[in-house]
Amino acid sequence: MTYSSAVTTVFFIALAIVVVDVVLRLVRRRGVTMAHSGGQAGLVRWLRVAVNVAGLAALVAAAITGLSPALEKNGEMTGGALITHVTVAPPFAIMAVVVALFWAHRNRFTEGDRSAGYHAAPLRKFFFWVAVAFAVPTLVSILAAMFPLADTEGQASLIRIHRYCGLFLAGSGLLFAYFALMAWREGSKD
Amino acid sequence: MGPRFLSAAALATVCLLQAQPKLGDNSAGSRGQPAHIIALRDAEGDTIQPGDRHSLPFSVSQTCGGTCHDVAAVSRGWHFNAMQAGVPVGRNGQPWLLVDRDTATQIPLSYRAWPGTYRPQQVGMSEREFAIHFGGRTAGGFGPEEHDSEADRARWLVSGTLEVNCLVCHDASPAYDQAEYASQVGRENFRYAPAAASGLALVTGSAKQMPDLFDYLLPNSVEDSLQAQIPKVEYAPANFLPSGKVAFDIVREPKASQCYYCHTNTDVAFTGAERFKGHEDIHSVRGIGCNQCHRHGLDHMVTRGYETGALTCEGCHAEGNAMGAPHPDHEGIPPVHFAKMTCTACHSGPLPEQSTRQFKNGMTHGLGEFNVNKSGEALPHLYYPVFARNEAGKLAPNRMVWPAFWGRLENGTVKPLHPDQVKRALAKGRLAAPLTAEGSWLNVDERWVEQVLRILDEDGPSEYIAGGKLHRLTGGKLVAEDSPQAQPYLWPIAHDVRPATQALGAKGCQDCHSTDAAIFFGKVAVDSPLASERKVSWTMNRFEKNLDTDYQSRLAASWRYRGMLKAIGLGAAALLLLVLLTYAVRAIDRLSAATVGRTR
Repeated sequence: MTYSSAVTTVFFIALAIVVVDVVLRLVRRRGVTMAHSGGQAGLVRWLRVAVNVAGLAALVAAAITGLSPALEKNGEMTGGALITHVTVAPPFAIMAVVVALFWAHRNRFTEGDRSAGYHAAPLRKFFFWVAVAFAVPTLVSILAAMFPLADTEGQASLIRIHRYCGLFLAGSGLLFAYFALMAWREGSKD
Repeated sequence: MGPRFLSAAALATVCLLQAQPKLGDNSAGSRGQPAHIIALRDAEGDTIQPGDRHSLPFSVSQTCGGTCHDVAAVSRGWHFNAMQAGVPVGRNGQPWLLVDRDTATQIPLSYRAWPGTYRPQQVGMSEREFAIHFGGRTAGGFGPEEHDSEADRARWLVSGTLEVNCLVCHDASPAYDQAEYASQVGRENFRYAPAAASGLALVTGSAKQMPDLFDYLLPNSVEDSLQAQIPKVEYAPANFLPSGKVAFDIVREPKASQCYYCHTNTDVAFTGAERFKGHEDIHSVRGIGCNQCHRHGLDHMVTRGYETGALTCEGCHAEGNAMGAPHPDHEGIPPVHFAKMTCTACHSGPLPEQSTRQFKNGMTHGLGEFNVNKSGEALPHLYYPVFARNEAGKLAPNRMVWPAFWGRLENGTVKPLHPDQVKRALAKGRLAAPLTAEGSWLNVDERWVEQVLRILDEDGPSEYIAGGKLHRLTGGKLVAEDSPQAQPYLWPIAHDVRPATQALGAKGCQDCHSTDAAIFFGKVAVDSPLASERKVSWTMNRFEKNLDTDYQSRLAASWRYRGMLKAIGLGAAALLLLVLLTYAVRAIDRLSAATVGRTR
């Protein structure tokens, strides 16, 4: 499987998950309720909103700059696309840490996740941890490639790891964002 | 047994005999060096004895090829086949350079159809004239052709052919003198040149001085005033063994010093007293001779050392490990470099500097010949390293020469004029300029070019190409414009090879990824007889087609933030891992608690 077809596959899988979720919601006719603030102070609430928006923006920017060349050149990234991706990378890395810190505690799996009914929160938690798990090798692999550690084949492997982990990070990160939004609409208190 | 069967059997026997290699071409496998105690033979195949009343020069093709070696097969090898039809052109190689200081001419010539070179015929140079000019720095292989002029045919009979000279490469005797060979070729003593170079004989006289009807078998038939110039060969009896044969010091694998006679490339800064500052190819330093990679069979189609294939960079260092070649790790170098650059880009020639360097070459400058101009400024002016895209689109270092010649526009292209034609124009206009002692360009200016063009224009519109420009008269004024024919001719650098510790990039990524990196932004010297044109220089990336210079600049500028990028990335990865581990530990704790019915 080429990298461009892997990107397309992951995109369609993510889309399929969203479609299934939408269908399930329509079938179960769950009412739309406004989000709960959880009783947080105004400043913290706005900070969380800001972190979520900035984190999502950084993820989208990193995904677009990283994956769009893949669809054109099968993963070969050079020129302006490379510089743009590298420019986006540090803010993304910082935001990834901030989002992880803001969400890790709320995304602990609890007894409540096993309660009856279809909820977005467990899926949000799942995709959050998948995204965090893929973020680590995505960063480590490309950073390792910047040091004189691996030979030519090793370099190629590191770049391959970065591409595929980055792809799964993008997919799981966007699904996490989607289910976070759905959980908020459901009025989840997590 | 009928007659038909007998004739078929006879034909089969003849074919079998023809197919069998000659004695010396069919090795039994011994690694020892076969003794070459052989009889000298003249062009007719007759044996030469020291006491012969009228000595004749020995013929290499008869002496080496009589019964032992298939010289006809050898003569189709790379060293001899440039003029033969159906030979693959191959990648651009070093051209012959026709230099004429009087007319400020420097034309790259080749019988191979390399873009940017001119066939000698295009300059009005016959094959015979080519042999006289350049034959001394070749292994021979020149003779009369069907299309030769009457005058040339007559002169070939006087000089003899410049036959394939096996001794150039294979005679390891300390008495063998290639400079003597070149000197004899210059005197048009073609048939005598191998004998003179071998050290077995003394050759005097000059065929160049002989009249068209001169017959070397009846040498004394010329007029008295020319008697002293009659080509003569005198063998030293001491060189003959009691058997009447001669012991040649023939080697199967030529020594590097024999290759270097023609294939020397030496940096101008490291000639003369500065010679000790020069470097050597890492392969040579490690004791690997030229012939160990540049191998060939009887056909003498020497391995040219392209990037891939056996006995090439990749052949030894990546795919195999012939002669114990180390496998390069290239640690930390992104693989994209190998897709976009040749091995030589980082490992061959001098490291790129802010300006190109000048070098001299054995074939073009006659290095090692008698009375050669040792000045660093002697024409032709050759430059290196120039980084340009090769035919595969990879960045590679090259050697370079700027063409400079007078010509006439024919069918949309400038046809070079023979320097003799230009000399006549100079004489007519009394425009001959004094030559410089160092052998460089004439001290001339645009006014001189304008005057010469005015005279040449009398016979048709003329142009002068130099300094990357085409100069012509428009409305009586000299104009200089761009022209594809004015572009410099480039050919790839293969040697000297530098080891990993001296490769481009050994000091770090910023060898190339800096805003003033010579590989992209270095200055390429422009060469021209006109001082005003020598003042300007081209930027290296002008030769690197499709190079995104804006990207290279931005990439180089971004390098200062690379440390920050690494720090942020590593910090972020560490914190994310910490988050992951923290909650993983807690999850494991909960799992463990659940096994005993507790919840946490």
